[in-house]
Amino acid sequence: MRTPTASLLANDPSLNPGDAYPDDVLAARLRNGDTAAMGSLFRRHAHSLIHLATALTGSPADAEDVVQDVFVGLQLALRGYVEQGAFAAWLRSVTIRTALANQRRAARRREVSPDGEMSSVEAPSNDLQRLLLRDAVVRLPDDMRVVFVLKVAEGYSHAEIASLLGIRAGTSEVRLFRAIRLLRALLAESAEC
Amino acid sequence: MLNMLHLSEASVTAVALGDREATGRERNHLADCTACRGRLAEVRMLRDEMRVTEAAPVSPTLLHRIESRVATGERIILPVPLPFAELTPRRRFGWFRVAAAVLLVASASIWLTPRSTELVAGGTSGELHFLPLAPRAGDTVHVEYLAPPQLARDTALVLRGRLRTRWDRAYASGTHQQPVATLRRGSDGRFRAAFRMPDSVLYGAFAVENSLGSQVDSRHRRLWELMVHDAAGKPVFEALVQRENDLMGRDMRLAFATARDRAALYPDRPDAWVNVRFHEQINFGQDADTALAAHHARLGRLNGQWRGRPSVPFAVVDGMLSYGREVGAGDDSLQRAVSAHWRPIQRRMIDSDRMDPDAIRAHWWHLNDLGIGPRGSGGANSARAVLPLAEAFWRDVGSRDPSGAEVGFQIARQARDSGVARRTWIDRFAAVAPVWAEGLYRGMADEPALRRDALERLIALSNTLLRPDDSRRALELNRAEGATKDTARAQRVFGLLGDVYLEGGDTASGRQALEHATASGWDVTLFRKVAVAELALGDTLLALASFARVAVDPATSAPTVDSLATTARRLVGTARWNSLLVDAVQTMRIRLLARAVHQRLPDVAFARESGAPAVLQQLSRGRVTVVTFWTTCCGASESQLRALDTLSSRLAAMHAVLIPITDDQLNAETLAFAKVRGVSVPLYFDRSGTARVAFSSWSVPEFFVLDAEGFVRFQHSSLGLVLAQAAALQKASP
Repeated sequence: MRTPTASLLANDPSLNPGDAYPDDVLAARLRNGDTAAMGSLFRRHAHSLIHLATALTGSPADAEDVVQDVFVGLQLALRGYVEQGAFAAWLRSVTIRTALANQRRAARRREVSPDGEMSSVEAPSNDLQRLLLRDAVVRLPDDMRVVFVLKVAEGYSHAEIASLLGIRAGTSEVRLFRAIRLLRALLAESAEC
Repeated sequence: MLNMLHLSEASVTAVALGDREATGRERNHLADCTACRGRLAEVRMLRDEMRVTEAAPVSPTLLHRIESRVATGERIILPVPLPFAELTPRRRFGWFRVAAAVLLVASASIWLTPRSTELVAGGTSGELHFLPLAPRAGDTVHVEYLAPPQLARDTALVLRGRLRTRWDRAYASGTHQQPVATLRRGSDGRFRAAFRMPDSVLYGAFAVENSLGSQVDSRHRRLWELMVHDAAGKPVFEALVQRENDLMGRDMRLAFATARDRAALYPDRPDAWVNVRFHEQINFGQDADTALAAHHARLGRLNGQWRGRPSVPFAVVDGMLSYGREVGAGDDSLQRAVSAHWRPIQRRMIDSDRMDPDAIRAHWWHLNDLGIGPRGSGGANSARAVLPLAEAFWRDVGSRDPSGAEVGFQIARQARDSGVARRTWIDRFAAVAPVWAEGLYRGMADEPALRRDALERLIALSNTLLRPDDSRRALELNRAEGATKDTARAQRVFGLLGDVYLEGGDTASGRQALEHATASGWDVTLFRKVAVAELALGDTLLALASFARVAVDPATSAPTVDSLATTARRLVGTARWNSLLVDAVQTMRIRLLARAVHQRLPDVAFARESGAPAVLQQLSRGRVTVVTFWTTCCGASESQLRALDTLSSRLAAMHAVLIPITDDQLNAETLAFAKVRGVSVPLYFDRSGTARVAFSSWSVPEFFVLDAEGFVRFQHSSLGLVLAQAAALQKASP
């Protein structure tokens, strides 16, 4: 039989296992070494993060690498997580930053070895219009695609994008409307085929 | 005609994505222009299409791959988002560098910051300058920072500070840290910011870190400092008090130096000399009495000097009484004369100006003397009589001085109150000194009537510690180190919780709490407690697994290890016990190395006892090395000196070496001091302070453990842990 004092301890969610916890509780448990909590967070968020990382990197394979890195580093990163907003938003932000960092590394590698090609597009959608759009987005130059995805799909402001990418807000605006102009051309081109 | 101009691409995008509303002219144009409406709709379609979040296929093996990488101990530092709002510097300074340089050359004040860019164990350090160097209260302070290589590539850095007002207490018991300004990199590579010192702030200690809080420049743990000065450019008396308070616990010798500086700058202030006496007693013990004659003479002189003045500040009146109490023991007639003259004046001043901060503090100490007597000599009855007075004063104006919470707590304890008053004062004291909360709650649990309250508070405290709160993080620590420290403290709280449960006979809850306490980290004391709880519950195998951890710690004595082995072999057989020992050794290594660092040292040179030079790297000769700092003028250091020979021989048994370093004078007196305390291992002398800077070690006793390659792996460690840490590194070496 539980004593009243034992129930005090039991009422503390950080002390008890269970998968039905909200994100912040799972995050706290993972931060404190409960790796089972990572599985719960993965099952809850992996789909949308893969989707996001695919849009950013243009490659499902690279996206998988990004998401893999995010979850491998998550326990350590959570030490710096301040519960000032939704965990899901924070996790998306970390994923974006990780994708951008990986992209910079990949760009450096490409400088050394120009033989590497971007992965071909394997968009998951079977909706033709969406498929064409995703294909066109992937064909955008990296700098335009990232701004386009962050602004149009993720809803970041130009100031936030500027902060993320280390560019000026005006540069972000220019890249966005150039991306839209180029997309328009690419979509017209694919319609002609 | 204007309506005929098409919207620009930027305008279409901004309006379509909701960045702004269309202007009146744009609305008029859109009403007429099919083409622009079409472009607008097209961008909105793009947005809507892109925002459809599909269930992207996730490889069924992805989670398994992630878990495999985590299991191998792989660590990835992710680029986490900035956890606080950006601040914008007010203006930039072309003239700043020149002016700062002139001031730096012109002043030899102790508040200037030394320069160093060398790579050292305590982290790298850049150059940071404040302007003005001697700000007045409420001034705007401009900061210029030349970052070391590790921080120089960032575009923005964070200046974090611990800002102290006159109410802040000694040690960092309740003072919080906070971001003060964002330093932005200019085209010349230097970082600049400006911030306004709040009017109430007297002293600030600062460090610089990157936006992730992963790299910290703490000036080798000495921090950059800023004190409020008066119109003549002299540090304000109370600012010096707060500097001394801040240094307590992080650099006691510099705290003592600050007390001496304050007395030198304000020689007529008796309250300055009170603290000099305090530090003399801490540093020199009974030898401090050799300075009593000089203090007596000064007390007599100050007594005569201030008695002749028509108006005396309250702080001086209070200081005369305190100084008389501290140094008057050898001359009762002088102490009586001082008390007889100044006590009534103090009472009159308290009664006439109840809002004066010094009067409030003095009234608290008056209640303290009434309730518990000098040095706790009063009985429970007098404390009970004073308890309602303390409560009434707190509700009136007393809560303005946080130290009143400590006085109220002491009175309630002396009164042996076991009800609301004790609980209330403990909560008030824990609120103003949160770092002491667990100790207060542990004491609370000793009262049966308050045991449940104590349990609730310990649980709440452990939860608080497991939630990130950057204001708790010391300026010298990065976020990971801060989180590790919080986790370790939460585990200690779980340990106390376990104690309380076990004492109350609730063994199951006690064991559960202790399991949380021992879930990570390495603490032999807690392992013992868990083992005992498991034995009480009849789980012999789990108990032996915990006892195995005790047995494998190199600090455990041989008789204890033998005793545990004998019992264990009888219960489970030799093979099983050996298997538990193997597991325990592995656990010890994994857990200790999980908290290890990997920092390179510059060449560290010092002197041998003979005066001949020695270099740390040559003394180590590829062995695991424990470096300890000690001094003759620290009680804790003195007591640990007696253990150095034993420590050295145990380290030698594992082919490791001990290097004890002091920055005391190399002379016969220092050597005799060590010899009397049983030290026969070679001692090393760091008069230049090179070793202290290299290790960023400013307090004693402190231990550092280096691996065979000469990297610092464990820093600011303790005597109880260094053997296990050295053993963990030995196992890691090929």
